[in-house]
Amino acid sequence: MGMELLEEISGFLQKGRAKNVKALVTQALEEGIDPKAILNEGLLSGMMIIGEKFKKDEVFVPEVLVAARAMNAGLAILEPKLVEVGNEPVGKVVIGTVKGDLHDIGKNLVAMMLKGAGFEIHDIGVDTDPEKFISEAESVGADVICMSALLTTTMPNMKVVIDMLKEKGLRDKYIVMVGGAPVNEAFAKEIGADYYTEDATTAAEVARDAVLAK
Amino acid sequence: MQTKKEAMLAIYRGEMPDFIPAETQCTAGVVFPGDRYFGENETGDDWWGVNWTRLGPDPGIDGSMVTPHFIMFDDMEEWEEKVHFPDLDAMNAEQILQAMASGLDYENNATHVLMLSGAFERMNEMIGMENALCAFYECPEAVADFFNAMCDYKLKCIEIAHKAVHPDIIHMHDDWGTNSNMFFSPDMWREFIKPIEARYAKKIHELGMIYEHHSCGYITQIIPDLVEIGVDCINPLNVCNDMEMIKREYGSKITLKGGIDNQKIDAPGCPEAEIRAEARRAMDAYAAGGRYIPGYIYSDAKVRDIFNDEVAKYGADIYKK
Repeated sequence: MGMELLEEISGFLQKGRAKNVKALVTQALEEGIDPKAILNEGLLSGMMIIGEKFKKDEVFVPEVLVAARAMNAGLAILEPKLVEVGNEPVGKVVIGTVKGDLHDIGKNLVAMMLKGAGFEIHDIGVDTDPEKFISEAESVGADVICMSALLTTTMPNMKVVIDMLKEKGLRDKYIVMVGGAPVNEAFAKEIGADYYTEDATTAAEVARDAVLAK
Repeated sequence: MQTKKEAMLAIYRGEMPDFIPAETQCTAGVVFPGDRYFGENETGDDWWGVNWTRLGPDPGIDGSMVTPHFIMFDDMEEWEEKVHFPDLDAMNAEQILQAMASGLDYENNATHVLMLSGAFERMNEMIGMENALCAFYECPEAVADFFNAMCDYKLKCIEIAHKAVHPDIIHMHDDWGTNSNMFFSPDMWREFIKPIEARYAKKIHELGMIYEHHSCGYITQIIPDLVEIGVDCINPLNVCNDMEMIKREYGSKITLKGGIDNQKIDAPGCPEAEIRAEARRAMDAYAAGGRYIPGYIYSDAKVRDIFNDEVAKYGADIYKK
């Protein structure tokens, strides 16, 4: 019975039906289903399926966004219960678009996928000072720093953050990931980032694997 | 021997050019007023009430974008109440265009009127990209109604542009792609956007002009649709698209402007020889049979000038080989 309900939550989430997800998460809690099971087997599994479809070009950005909105609607109800049972996130991520760059669609998509993979997200926005990436990571106890850039003229600012981490003796403390249209594997290697991924879904998978292996 | 202008217009019209000119040497145009703020620093409200911020010091290179965190409203269900279409008569659009066009060199240029902010762009400029993309699912009827109203508005703009400027080309803008795929599914584009594009094509052709459309990003899936509705030229066909397939299958039916790896040539420190080599590579790959213009969205004036210098030199003899 419980399993069927969780599958139903996952199904509605994949269709972006926030109202149905909210109703079923409430019902699942009333039926005494473990909040962690609702999170992992209902919400996150649904988001993972959408992520995989996005990666394979079977769905597009709107489908990911409405699914993420449905996930957030369910999470809003679930989060107080998760706190009660002491559920820990997979890890903590500080994410932002680098200095001089105001683009945020890609960055937001990656943040949604990371949230869907069980991460706690600290989004520091766009046009972010290099110091802010580091101070926020230090302040929240992050595991991962994610940097986004859409412009060829701003992508060198990713290196500024990495160099600053080195100067402060903090480079090994964080997993550093970079992405954005002009960024590629060779550039990531050149500036000393740990990972580059081509899409948001892979970013979440790689971050999860990297944090679990840490 | 054709002039540069004649060669460029031949390429747009699907006739065989004698050579490929550099677009910077034989095209000129004006921007239809109202869709950006063109006052001081290009930072302020457009005619719709959307607030824009220019990203850098050079108006020719640095684009302006909607000011971060600006939002007019967040629910497309409310568009009829919240959106105030510019009153083109009260704003003197025709007189403004006439004044702008008075400086155009018609003799030596293929002329265009650039129309920024198509229906999808205007929606996301007002309510934000995420709300706009979700609106296709959350309130599809409202989106369709707004797009139809946008189309009616743009058709009026096209008529005014024709009357005031008499351009060769109407250059419509609406971005539909990211670097890896379309913003929305091709079927969604076909349902919501293709019908209004078909109406633009009909009107532009009735008025004897050429229809060029700009969409950044990956839009390979809808090239056959653009051909079907009669778009004459598509740009900038970023290199993420399947240019070889597009050239092979559709290169005789629609003029292709683009196919340039600008992420490579605009990268800081790219050597001049590589910029020139990219211009030659693209012409070698896509110029056969005509209907090809080497061009991209310039973001560095020096790179732009080197690129176009090479296009002029290499393009001069490209069809004599």
